[in-house]
Amino acid sequence: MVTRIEYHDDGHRTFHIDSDALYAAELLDHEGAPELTQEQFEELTDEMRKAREEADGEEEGSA
Amino acid sequence: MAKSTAESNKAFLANATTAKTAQNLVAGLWVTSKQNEIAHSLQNPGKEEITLYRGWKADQLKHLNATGLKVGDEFSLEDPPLYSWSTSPNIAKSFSGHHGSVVTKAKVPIDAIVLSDLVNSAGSYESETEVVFKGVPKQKMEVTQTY
Repeated sequence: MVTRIEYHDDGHRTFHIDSDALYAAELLDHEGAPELTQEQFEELTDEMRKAREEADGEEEGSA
Repeated sequence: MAKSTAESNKAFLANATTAKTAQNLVAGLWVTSKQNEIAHSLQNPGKEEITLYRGWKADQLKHLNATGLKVGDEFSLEDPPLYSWSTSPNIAKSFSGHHGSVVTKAKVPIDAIVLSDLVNSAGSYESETEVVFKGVPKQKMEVTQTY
């Protein structure tokens, strides 16, 4: 999800995006991916976040 | 008997979680990344970064609440994951779909490449000139085409 929009003097904008949501959106390119409602997409984003946090925790644990 | 939508979505979520775990494992294979870095440097002497492209469909942008984009706008991510992009803007366009879709480009440091068909056929989609890279914090992705 877009968390913030930054407006610049030259007219262009920077959309700050939640990394887990962007990753979830990338997955929707995969063959067989269903069309998701917004609620289901947010659920998928939460799954991505949990998986990343678990992986980060494992990395920290092994460091 | 056909699976219900809920069952299909649940299966997709399970696969997506597995995919995420697999992506993290790939990220750990930094030896492969180093091979790519060396191979790419040999093929592109003096080049420290490459430009990669990705298409985004209208429904993906809608989920992200990133609509009304115009050329020159950017995406920025605080904690970027792995990405699968293409060296070809035309291939990226073929993934973007129709009305409301966009193509973005990013300048990626050579040493951020994890897998690439271009240097060692390590990826899975050679025809897509695919490059898998680890995004750097504050990675900028600029909109180059809108449809």
